[in-house]
Amino acid sequence: MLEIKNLYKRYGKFLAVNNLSLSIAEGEIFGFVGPNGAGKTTTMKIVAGLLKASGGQVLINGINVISHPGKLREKIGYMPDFFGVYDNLKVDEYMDFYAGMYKIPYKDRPAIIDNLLEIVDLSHKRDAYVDSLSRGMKQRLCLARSLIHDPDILILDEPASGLDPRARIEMKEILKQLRTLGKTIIISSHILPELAELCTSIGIIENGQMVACGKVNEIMQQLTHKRIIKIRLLDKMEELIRILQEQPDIHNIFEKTDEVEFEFDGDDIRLSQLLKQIMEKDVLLTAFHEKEGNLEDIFMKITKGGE
Amino acid sequence: MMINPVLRRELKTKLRSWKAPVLLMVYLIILTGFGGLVLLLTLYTSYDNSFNPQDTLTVYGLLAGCQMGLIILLVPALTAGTISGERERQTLDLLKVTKISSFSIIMGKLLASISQIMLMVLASIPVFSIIFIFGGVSLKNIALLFLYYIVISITLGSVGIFCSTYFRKTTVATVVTYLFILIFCFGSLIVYAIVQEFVYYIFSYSDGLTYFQSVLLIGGNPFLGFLSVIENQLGTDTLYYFLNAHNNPLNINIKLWQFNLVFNCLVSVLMIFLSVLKIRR
Repeated sequence: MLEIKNLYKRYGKFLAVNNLSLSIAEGEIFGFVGPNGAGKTTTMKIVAGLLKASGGQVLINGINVISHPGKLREKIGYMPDFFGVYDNLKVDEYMDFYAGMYKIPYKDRPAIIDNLLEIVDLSHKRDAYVDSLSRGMKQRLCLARSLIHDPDILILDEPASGLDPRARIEMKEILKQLRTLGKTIIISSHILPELAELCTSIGIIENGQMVACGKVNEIMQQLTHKRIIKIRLLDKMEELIRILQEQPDIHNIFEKTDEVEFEFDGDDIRLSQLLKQIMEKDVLLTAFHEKEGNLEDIFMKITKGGE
Repeated sequence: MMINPVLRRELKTKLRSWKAPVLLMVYLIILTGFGGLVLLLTLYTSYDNSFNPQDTLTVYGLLAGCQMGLIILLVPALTAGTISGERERQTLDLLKVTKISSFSIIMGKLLASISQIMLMVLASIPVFSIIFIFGGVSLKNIALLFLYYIVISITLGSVGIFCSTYFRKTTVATVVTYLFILIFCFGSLIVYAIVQEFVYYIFSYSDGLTYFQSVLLIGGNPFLGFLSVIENQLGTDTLYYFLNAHNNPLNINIKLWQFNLVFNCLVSVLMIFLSVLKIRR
């Protein structure tokens, strides 16, 4: 569906995007992760046709959109990280304006606008002035705007930035709904757990380069060769630490008040033997489990060079 | 047929705001006040306290000049923030990702600003109609004057939009537009005076620049263009001497206002073209 090949963007001597390549299949939700200034927004702007690439290709269904920008605009809906609204314009007029900008015939507009306002739960606000809406509502309205021409690909740059928890949840629910509509979505966010829940695959970018790209689980497996085990206990902390230190396949033991975390090289049989050994020493456990890796861990590992 | 959505939205939001009627009101108060004052002065300063209908032409000329001055002052203020304002409001990118062309965006913005000026000019017709009471000015004269207003508004507006496209901040764009217009209006006069003096100095006993050379050098000046339109109607001949019209060996018949209209149209096309190039994706 969308393929980026050897993309470069240079600002003078500064290389904002450096030989970036990725491929996103139809219907995927691709999470774009990276620290501030990594090149996420620049890449998204190039894909949206707002910036010219210094080199490389952006292909949608095999067509290079850099040389055919007209085709690109029909296929892509873009929501920037920061945007403004117009004064003295009502919600339905705002939508109608953008429908006009996408050359949608007058007769088709009311139905499209009704449908989109319903999706983003703003039907009750259609006669309100856009500058009077809350931040969350403006974000939702901008999302509806980006869908006005029924694009195949949605590019959402930090759609949840600056939103309170409730508004973030509402935005997440809308994105889940869009996934069911079969849209291919590229989303960047700093709220990583939310991305992990939403995305089918992720790309981690740092200093303009893609440092990891693929399914969340695949990247996890590549990065974490060791399992992290977490034990919570009521007493005999010293006894437990001593047992753990005796094991050849246990490393990096982290002790907290009533918890212990450590890296474990062994298999499931070794893990059950370890549990048995602890129980035999009458250590009162309340929890013994393998810690699930998450996107934040991956992000921290990769962007710190795998520390 | 689909109306340019940028024009449609701009007109809607502009006219919904309180600024539009207030601006129109202030504009008409200034114009009416000035017209009334000139008319009263004409009435009470005559030799025998009588009213000479011929004086209405003077009132007409001054009123038209006042309107011209207001247009020169207002158009940059209305256009210099059009594109930079979108950039500051962070809405320009949202326009640029749509299917509409950069040309349509620029034209939508320009036409919206010009429409507001045209609304003011049209609203001033009743003020001008005072002149009709006394006669002396034909409808054709008024039509030509208003055509000149439209063309000069488009030219100044396209300069404003050009600056708005090239400068990120509205304040900078506005200042540069006024500077540009200042140079356009007064700079060309200074250059013309210097060149004229230079020619007299170099070629002693010469008649100075020819009429054609003068028109080429200063024909684009909006003040002189306006003066040419008015003088054509009032029958005065200040420009005849100013442009050395007696020195016309090639017997060129083109009037200054005709050259001026063509020149202004070309400037507008160039400014619009450069603005489109700048915001083109």
